[in-house]
Formats: sequence, C-alpha cells, structure tokens
Amino acid sequence: MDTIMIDGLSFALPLFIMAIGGIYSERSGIVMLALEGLQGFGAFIGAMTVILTRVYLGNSSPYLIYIAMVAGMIGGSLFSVIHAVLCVKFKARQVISGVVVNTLAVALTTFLTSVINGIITGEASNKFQIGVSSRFTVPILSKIPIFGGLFKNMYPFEIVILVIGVYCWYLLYKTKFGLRLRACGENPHSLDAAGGDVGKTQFIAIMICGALSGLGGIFIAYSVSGIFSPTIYMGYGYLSIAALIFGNWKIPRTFAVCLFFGFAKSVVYQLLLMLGMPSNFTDLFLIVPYVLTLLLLIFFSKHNHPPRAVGEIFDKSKR
Amino acid sequence: MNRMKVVVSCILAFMLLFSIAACGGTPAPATPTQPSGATEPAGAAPLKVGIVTTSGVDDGSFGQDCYNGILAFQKNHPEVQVNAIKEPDVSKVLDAVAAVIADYDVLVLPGFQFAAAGAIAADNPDKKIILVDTAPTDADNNTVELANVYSMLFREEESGFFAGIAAALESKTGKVAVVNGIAYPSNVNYQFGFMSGVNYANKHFGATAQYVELPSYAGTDVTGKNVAGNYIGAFADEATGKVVGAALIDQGVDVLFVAAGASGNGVFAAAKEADNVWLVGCDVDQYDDGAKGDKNIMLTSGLKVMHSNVEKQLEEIYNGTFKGQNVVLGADTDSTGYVSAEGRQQLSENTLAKLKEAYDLLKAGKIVPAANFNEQAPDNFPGL
Repeated sequence: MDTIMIDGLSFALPLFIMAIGGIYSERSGIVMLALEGLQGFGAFIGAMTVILTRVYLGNSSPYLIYIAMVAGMIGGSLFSVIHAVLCVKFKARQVISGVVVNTLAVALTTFLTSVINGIITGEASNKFQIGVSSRFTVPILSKIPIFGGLFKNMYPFEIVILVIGVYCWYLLYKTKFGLRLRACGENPHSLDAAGGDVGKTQFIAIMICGALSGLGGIFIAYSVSGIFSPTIYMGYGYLSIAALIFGNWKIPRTFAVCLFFGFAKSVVYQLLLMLGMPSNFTDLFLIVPYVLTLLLLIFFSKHNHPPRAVGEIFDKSKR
Repeated sequence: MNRMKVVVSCILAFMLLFSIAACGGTPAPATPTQPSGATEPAGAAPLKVGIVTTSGVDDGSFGQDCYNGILAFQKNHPEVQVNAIKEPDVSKVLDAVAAVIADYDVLVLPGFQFAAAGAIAADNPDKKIILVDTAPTDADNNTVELANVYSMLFREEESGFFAGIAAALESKTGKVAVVNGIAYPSNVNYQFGFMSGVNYANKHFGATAQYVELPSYAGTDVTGKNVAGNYIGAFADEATGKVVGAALIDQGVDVLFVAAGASGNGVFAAAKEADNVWLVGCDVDQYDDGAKGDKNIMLTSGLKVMHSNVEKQLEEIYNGTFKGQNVVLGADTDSTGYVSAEGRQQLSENTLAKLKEAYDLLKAGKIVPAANFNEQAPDNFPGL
C-alpha cells in the first residue's frame, strides 16, 4: 500500500508540473506540443550543471539537486525561447514549431551529451550519471493509516512542485498578469484594446512553460534512473498534454487527472506483483489506465472548452 | 522584417540539418583522415571499417566495447578508416547495413538484431562481416556458416556463474536476484548461469543464499518456455526497471545482478535509493555506473570480452588470414570472466579467492554452468 502511494505521487507530480506549463502556454493562446522536448532539454541542462558543479561541491553534496532544479528550469525556459520566437515574433504555425522543438531537443541533447562527456571524462558516453536524490519522510503525517504512504520517502522535488503548483494557480487566476494571460487565449484583441501587450504576455507564458517543463524533466531524470540519457524521452511530455486536455485546461482538475495517471500506474504495478500473473499480462494491464482515459474522454470531452483563440495567430490589424 | 525572416529561416534550416546529422551518425571521435601511411600493404587502398549499432558506440556497454576494439586496431594501423553508424530503429538496421555495405571493407555488427545480415553477406562475398552475439542466418532463417562472416557468441552463463558466486558470498540477507531485459538466449544464459553460481557457492563455499524471483515478471524464452527469473520485458524501460528493482529489494534482496540494457538503469536507481544494497554489472566493467554520492555500490561485473576479439579478427583481416566461421567463446579463450582489478571491484579477499578457484575449474572444463540450450539445469550441472 505504501509503495502505491509513494510511487503514485512520484509518477504524478512531474506530469502535473509539465501540464501546468502546458496550461500556461495554451491559455495564452499558444499551442504547446513541445513539452517533451522542453523537459528533455531542461533535464539535460540540469544534469550537465550537476556534472560540472560536482567537481567543486563534492559528489554527495545535498545542494546538488537544488542546483539541478534551478538549472533545469533555466535550461527549459531558454530552450522554449525558440518556440516563443517562432510563434510570437514570426507567427509560425505553432504545431509545426512544437514538433521542431521536440525533434531538435532529442538530437541536440543526445549529441551534446556525447561531446561533453568526451571533453570532461575523455570517454564518449551518452549518459550523465547524476546520482539519486535523497528522500525523506514527514514525521507525524506519515503515521496516518492508508494515506500516510503519501508522506513517506518523498523526493524534495515533490514539495517544490506542490508549492510551485499552488503559486501557479494563484498567479493564473488571482493576479492581473493571470487575467491578461487568459485574455490572450480567449480574445487577444480585447487585451490589445485594453492596452496590454499580447506578444509579450505570450512570450512570458511560453518561458514559464519551459521552466516548469524543465523542472519536470530533471525530476524524471532523478526519480527514474539517476541518469540523464536519451531514454528520458519516453513520452511523459505527451502524457502531460493529454492530462491538461483531460483536465479541461484548469489547474485543479489537471492535478486530479495527473494523480489518476500516477496512481493508476502504481496500482497496476503492485497489483501485478501481488497477483503473481505471468509477465505476458504485464503490458496488457499497463494499458488499462490509458484505455480508461480514452473512455472517459469520450464521455467528458464534449464539455471541454479549449481556450478560444488557441492556435490562432494574433493579427493586430484584424481588430 | 522580411529580411529577418529569411535569416531566421536559414538558421532554422541549418539547425534542422544539424539535428538530422546528429540523429544519423554518431560522430566517431577518432576518425583519422590522414592519407595512406607507409605501413599499408603496397597498392591496396586503406581498409575501411564500419560499425552499425542501435544503441550507439557511446552507450557505455555493448556498442562501445566493440567500438573500442576497432579503435585499438586503428591505433596500430593509423591509415585504417573507421566510421560509426547509429540506427536506433531495430526494424531498420538491416536496411541500414544493406545500404552502406558497398562503402566498407569490413562491417562490425553487434547484437542479436543483425542475425539476418547473413543474407546480405552472401550477396557481397568480397565484404567481411564480424557479427557479435549472433550467428548469421540465410533468407530462410537457418543458421549458416559463411566464408566472409566471423560470428562470435559468448557463453554468458559463465559470466553469470561468476556473478552468482560473488553475489551469494557477499549477500548479508541471504537473498540475491538477477534482473534481465527480455528472455533472449543471451539473457537466459546470464540468468541460468547466475542461478548455477548461487547453487555452486551454497554447496561448495558454505554460502546460504537463495535467488528471489517475482512470478509476475517471469520470462518466456524464444521457444515459448517459461524460464521464471525477473524479466523487465524491454531493454529501454527504466521506469519498470525501477519498479522491479524496488520490489526485489522489498523482499530483502541485497545483491542484484543486472543484465537488462538501459532498463537496468532503473534497477540501479532503485538500488541506490535503498540502503545496503549492492549491484553486479554485466557485459562490460560497469563500476562507474555504481557511483552513489561519494560511495560506490558496484561489487564487480560479469564480463563478456568483445573488444579484444573484435580487434583480433580485424588483425586477421588485415593480415589476410581471416577465416569465416561461427564460434562460441568462453573463459577458455579469456572471453568471459569477472572484474578482479584493484579499484574496479569491491569484493572481499575471501570472495576473490573463491572466484579464482571456480574460474580455474571452469576454464579447465570441470564446471559447465547451465545455459538456455545446453541441456544442463541450474541445480544440476557438471561440477556442482
């Protein structure tokens, strides 16, 4: 039971933080298919920073993961500038730009990892060994029956993600900036008429998205393998796009969807272990959450409202 | 504004090209472009050697070990041209081989997925192919022996055997486990070898270890037989690897032998997050992958010595003494073994001594650990 809670949370939260990024971008009117590439590039920069700073701080320094988080966020947002420049400044097709960012990230990080490893260690290797994150247990809360598992063996990332998640919710719904951002996605001309800068708002939204995706990426790198390698591109970015669509572009509902994805996965894994079924069935069971998602989407998607102006290229003269 | 667009689109086009290039071929860091040297046989063009991999020649494992063999050969013969080709899509590797074979004199093809390259080799009798880990097959999927193909298989069960002894002797909880990728023969060999090793250590060296298996991750080998063990079901699924690793550690396992490709990274991560869990690497010396902060949890690694065998065959080609054949290599040719070098393993003196003893017996043919298809069982094999 504890394992289900622990694993479920650590599967769900990286999805959640990336999905928030996607929500920011899409609510500002920019289609965001680049989450996969952004998380990978963020993880790459985070991992590279760990490799470089480790020389000075020592291998077991507890600060490394925090440095990695910050570097991952910076890396993700820097890489998202490509998408922002293409979509906002040059008004390119946002879907195509997103795909370009994804493809570029895979190729570029694979190539650079080899080259940088070659320079640092003299041996070309396609992975950065960043080690594993420390984990901690919250004292009293972890004693709660059943749900206590949620507070056991937590990654520091999880707290950071939850705090950032709440702040992002506040920023999007309770501040002037959030209002403007949402206006960009619904009716950019109204924002323009009110004297706001649509391009600037979208640019910032995309960079926030990059930063959040980068954080998700470095969390995945730490929690799944303790390595940065091209296997980080295993589709979590796309899964979080599904989560935000299913979550109707709203942060609280997306959080619930991410938890559903995460716990479905951990429940299935533990169920299989308990039942002791032959491994042929493992893959079959692992698709159950996604089949459920598909079914639920069929019933609920007609109530979904994507931001009205998402994907539309903002043209001032059409007002 | 318009000119800006042109400039940016040029930059983007360039980046796209760059990314495609990065996808297509991992650059070979040491490819020399010097003109033919004096050591070259008179009149002949310099030998061109290519290696095609799915995981890259920088994967820290299989591909890299073969590549190192080529580089060692090149060091002795600087005029040789070497190029590494990466085709990540397993279903396209044979097309890749067929497309490039005309440009090379020798192709090194590491991996199970290249078996059908036998047909390509038959069509190109003037080209040499070095196959690692598989025998060539013809168009009808029958194993063949070709004059221009040297194929090497390894007795993985021997490496697994040493790993099993090391794990059984070093375990404090008395529970050990082997984690594999997919139940291909090479993986089953590792698994059975490991089990043989644990049984051997229990019987002859006073160990009391048992191997733990998760029924829900039992493997099905190429003949459809259930071989039990712990199979992740893929070679690149780190997330499931971590779940399997953590489940085994939950059951008290404190030494894990991991032969699962990139999925093994997940098992490594699970071991590093737990306390007092040790790892045994596989194929190549994986000591560096065992780093955990300032510590290291890699006990030793079961070895499959590819580089020196690749180098040896390249030398034979160079000297014109090459002979196409299918061979199975083992400890008798120093092609399997374990890491015993100081500073690259953390075994106790006692374990090292016992391993040496078993190694000598195995090399002399007194011990034949069980493998997928050698008619021996892990609890009943010659030498037990």
